[in-house]
Amino acid sequence: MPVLTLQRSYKYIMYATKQPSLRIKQADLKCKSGCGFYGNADWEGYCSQCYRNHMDVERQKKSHNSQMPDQSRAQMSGFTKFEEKKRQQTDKKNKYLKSLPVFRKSSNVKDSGRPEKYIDIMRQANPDANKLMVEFITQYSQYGDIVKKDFFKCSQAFSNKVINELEVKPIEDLAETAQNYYNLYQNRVNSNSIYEDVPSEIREKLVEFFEKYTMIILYSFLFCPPTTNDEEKDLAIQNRIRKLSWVNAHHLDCCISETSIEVRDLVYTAINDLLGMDSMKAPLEKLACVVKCCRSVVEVLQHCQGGPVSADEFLPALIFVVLKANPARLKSNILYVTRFCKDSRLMQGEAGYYFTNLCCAVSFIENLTAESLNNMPEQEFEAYMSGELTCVSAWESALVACEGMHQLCEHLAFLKELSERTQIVQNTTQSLRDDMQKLKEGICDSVESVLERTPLIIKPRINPLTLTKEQLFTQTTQYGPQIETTNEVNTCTDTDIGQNYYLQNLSLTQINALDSTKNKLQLDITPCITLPEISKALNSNDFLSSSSAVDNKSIESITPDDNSYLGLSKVNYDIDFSDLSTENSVAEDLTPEKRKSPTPSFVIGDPFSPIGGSCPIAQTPLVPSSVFPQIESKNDGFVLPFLDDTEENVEDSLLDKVEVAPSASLPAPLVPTSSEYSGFSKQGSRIPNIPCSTGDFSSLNFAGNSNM
Amino acid sequence: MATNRTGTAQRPNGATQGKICQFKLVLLGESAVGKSSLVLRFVKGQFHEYQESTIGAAFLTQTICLDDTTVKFEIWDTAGQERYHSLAPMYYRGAQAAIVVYDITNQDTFGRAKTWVKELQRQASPTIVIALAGNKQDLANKRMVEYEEAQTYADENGLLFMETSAKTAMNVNDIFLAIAKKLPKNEQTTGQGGSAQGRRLAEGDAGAKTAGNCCK
Repeated sequence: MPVLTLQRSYKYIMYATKQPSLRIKQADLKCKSGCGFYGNADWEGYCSQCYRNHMDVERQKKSHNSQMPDQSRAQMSGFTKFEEKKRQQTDKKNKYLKSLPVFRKSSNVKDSGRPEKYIDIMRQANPDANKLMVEFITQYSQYGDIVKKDFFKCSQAFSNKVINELEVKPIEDLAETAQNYYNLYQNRVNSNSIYEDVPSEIREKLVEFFEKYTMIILYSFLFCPPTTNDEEKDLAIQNRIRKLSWVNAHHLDCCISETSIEVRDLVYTAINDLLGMDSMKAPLEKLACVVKCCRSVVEVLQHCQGGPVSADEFLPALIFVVLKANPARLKSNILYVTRFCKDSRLMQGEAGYYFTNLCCAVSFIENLTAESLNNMPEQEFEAYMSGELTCVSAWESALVACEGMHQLCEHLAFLKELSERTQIVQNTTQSLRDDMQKLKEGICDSVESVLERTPLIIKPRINPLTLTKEQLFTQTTQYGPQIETTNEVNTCTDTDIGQNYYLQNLSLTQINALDSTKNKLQLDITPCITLPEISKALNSNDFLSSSSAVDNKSIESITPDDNSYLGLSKVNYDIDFSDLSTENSVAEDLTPEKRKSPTPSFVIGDPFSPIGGSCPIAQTPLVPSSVFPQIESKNDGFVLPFLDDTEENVEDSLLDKVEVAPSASLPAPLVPTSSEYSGFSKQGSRIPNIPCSTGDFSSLNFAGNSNM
Repeated sequence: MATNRTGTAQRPNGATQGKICQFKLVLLGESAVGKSSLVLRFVKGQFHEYQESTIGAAFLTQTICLDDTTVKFEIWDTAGQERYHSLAPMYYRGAQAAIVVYDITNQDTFGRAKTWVKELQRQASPTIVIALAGNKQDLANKRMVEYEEAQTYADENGLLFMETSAKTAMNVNDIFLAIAKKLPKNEQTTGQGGSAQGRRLAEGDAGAKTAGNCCK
């Protein structure tokens, strides 16, 4: 007996209501009578045993003084009139109940001879119990009628016993009775032959079911019984929490972000779970609600901080949730679970842990001081508590204000967001409009500029040609080296088709232009093509090469003549020879000098190909200046005799065929140069001289000079 | 005496071999000394950054095998902040073991640890096994609490003592193993899922007593 009472008293340490200091001092916990056991504020500072003795003494005293001796358990110092009235009513009820024979009969545990009437009352009062009975039958009937009968026999015995003792024993004794019965039934399930066939898991379930079933039957008698001051405690804690409504997460050092909508939703879930506790009847179910709530809190914390949720964060968060939920009959629920839930369930396991946390949270709220709220100044705390100061947070407005206000806030926020979006859309629309305007203007401008440019092109046809020449010039310089090495047009085509194509096109356009205005073209081209490379590249284009040749030798001499047509024809020959005989690079180097002294180019050219080919080039330009008119007349005739291959080229298409022609002609000229040149000689009287002087600069120079 | 009752009530009569023992273990210590990291390391073999998303670290269980006994630890974390200190008795009520954690780089936490130990010795079950853990051993170069000092204190008070590191896992399993070895397994009840025999004995014992006392 002492051991057990000690257990109970120890259990109730956690509900000590007065803890002014942060620490529990040992002296505070001890029984007032000095017996060495722990006391409890609920028992006026006595341990359970001393309290009982004390109560017995009190009761005896009262029985002398009053007519209602049995109702002296709840001795509270602070009686209000209301409470007194309530208690008197209770007493009357007790008196009435006691007058009934049913309740006077002291029945034993095993005494199953309870009145049928009473069972009917219980059943009527507990539709849930009927549901459970059906559930039991469906779930466990397979284990036989004996199990079922025994189960109901035990549960009825238990409930009967509790009801019989309801008015004569304090609630703590009833709680102990309940614990005893749980244990008895468990022993019975585990040892009695009736339950032999039941598997061990089902036995566990049966024990749980027993607790659940009996508690649902007895709920209305045992929950917040009128003989206790549980209701006052409920009101007290409710008021306390209401007063503390200004406490926010920051005060508790809790990382819950109150403004986040997602977090708030999760907190609402937790709050709902906690509020749901009150609607459950069996302690087990209430416990399940607590576990659910606490898991939601863990979820909230995980959402807020990430990572593992330790008790350092969990407890403040739970306190926050309890403060914001302010559950109805919180204290009654906690006491009910503590009293009538199986002890072992509260001492261990997840449910036990979370329930302990809830008790801690409630205890903390009850004893909360300024010091425990982030060391808030005492005056500020007092001001808040007295309502002088108000602290309005997003959370408060969301929770305290009516649903309509809350919705209004949310809608306003939503509208704000919408207007922002609209603004963005408008801005982008404007920018798009601007862009379109700019684009339109840009198009107009470009069209105008094109229109401005185009007449220039159209009117003076020379202009575009010069442009193309420049382009040609630059491009050919780029491509020059390749062409240099390969004097042959064929190789050019091989190495760079694109270039050739370009050149062809150019040449073709130019040729076309030439057809129309041959003279001018010739003029224009010649100055541009100073580089030998171009001439090479232009090998394909007879006229170009010719121009280069002309250029090299003496532009002035040609220009005055303006006989492009003739010049072209001449050029063909010149190019062919120049290609064959000399490398352009040499000529290139010499270009600057050429105008004044074209001879050196040939001097250098000689070592490579001393053939007379080089000479004709040098001469040809020189020659035409004087001979142009003649050549002009001879043009066709001139070509034909010179080379059979080249004849066609000149006539048909300067580019393509000429290109081919030189390649064919290349080998040829070397060998038959003399013969060729003989043919050439027809052209200019001086040409024959040149072959002779192939090696000699002097002759060339001389000839050039003479020509000049 | 007063603190005796929990132990006596839970003591079953017989010891069985190959049984499952369940112990409630409470973690005490100042906040941020690494209580939960220590447990997470023990339970999940993880340091906190790899914590899986659905589980809180406040309540965890871990089973270890010790010779022929399976020891199931049920670990209750407590809030370490000073303001919650007064709530601690609710947590260590009925606990068979406690680990008091301090941070070796912080002398204050060691002072708090001493307070916890004193309180446990005074208020908790007299059979409770108390272990002192100097955590954050990996930061030994910033040490503020000397090993010898703590060892001496532990010896004087009959505590298990180890310096641990949740980060490197040093001594984490060892300290739990040491506790498991020290716990009186033959006197220990089994919890849910334990052998029916031990449980029945335990509760039968209690039930018989209560029946005798309260129900005439």
